[in-house]
Amino acid sequence: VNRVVEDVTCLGCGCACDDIRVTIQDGRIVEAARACALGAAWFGDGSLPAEAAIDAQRASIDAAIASAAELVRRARRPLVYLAPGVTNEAAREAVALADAIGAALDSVTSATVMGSVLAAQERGRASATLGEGRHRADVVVWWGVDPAHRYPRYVERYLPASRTAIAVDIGERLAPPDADRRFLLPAEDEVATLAALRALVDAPGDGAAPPDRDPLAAAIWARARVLAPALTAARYVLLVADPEPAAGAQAAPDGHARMSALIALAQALNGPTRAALTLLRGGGNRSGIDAVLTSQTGYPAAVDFSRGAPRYRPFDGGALHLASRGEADRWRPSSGRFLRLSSVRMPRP
Amino acid sequence: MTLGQRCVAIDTGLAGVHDAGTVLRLDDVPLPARAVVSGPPAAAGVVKTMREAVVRGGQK
Repeated sequence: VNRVVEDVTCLGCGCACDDIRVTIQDGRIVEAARACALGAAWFGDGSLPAEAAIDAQRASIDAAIASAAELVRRARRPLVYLAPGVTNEAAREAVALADAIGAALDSVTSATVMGSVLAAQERGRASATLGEGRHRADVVVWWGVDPAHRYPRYVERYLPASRTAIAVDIGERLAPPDADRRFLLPAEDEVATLAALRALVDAPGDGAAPPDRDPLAAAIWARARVLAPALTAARYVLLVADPEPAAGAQAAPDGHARMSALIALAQALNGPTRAALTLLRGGGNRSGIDAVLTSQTGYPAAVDFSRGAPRYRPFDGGALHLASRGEADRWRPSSGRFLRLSSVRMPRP
Repeated sequence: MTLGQRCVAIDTGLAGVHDAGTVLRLDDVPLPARAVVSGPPAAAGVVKTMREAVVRGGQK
């Protein structure tokens, strides 16, 4: 017998499309209508192993929980690491556990988008809901991202049908091919170009003259002088960027500088016109986990309860930092699908 | 004391597939996650039970 569930939220990427029509037959998902390829992969057929194991030997859940509790209680330097595929409610429980055992607490955020998190903490953000972008934006700027790859339904669901699209290709990070205007930036010029744009948006009249006759600087300013008027002429600019690294890749070391400059431009654009910055996020409940950790501890990731009160250690307290200083082979991040409670040995900070 | 290679693994459900609750879209808008099929136990319940066991054990 088929059962149909309407308006299911998909967590295949951060877009969280909530219009999926899931058909279930004999306890298995047989169709996820309207889902993109990422969504179809997220739902799969809905089957997952439901097992518990102690030292790779199958065990009852009660025995595994008791054994895990004993392990955690005896751990010298425990780490609670949140995979993206958990609800806010589960994240809240994980924070309570970390608090109870004096653990380090972290999520994939540290190893992926910490640069943009820190930039937003320092500068604030000029952001908007996706709905506001859809209803108000008349100019969309693809800042080195083509959503077709990792956010397939973003355009269909969250952008206005009528819009001017400006594509900015940054090194190998290409924007969509079908934009109305296109700019090419060498990756090493990104931050300087954003700074020049911000200066031109702040002071359009005198044009913030180039500081010297360096041909590289002159090229950056020349490009910015063409792009800036296209932004300030808009009624509402939506800047779209993707701070998530490529799958399996480390976060780029310049992520913080790039996101900081992008936020500054979005804020500056709110002088002459309106603008918002949308930062895309990967699959699962990443934003939710950040929000729960922030509401419960004050910090979105890389939190340390080892001294009782939560401390923020974004530069040296992420799970990868802890593992690299300890015995990294004893600990591996979970696959994102299973809660894995495993022992970790790490030196005290 | 060494904990050696001890490892306990407990499969838990995936948000929005087996686990119901709240999730946030990338713009921090909350959306409901529904349990559309039954599967492994909910992560929240497993972690809560474990925390209670840790706290109980510490009081002995």
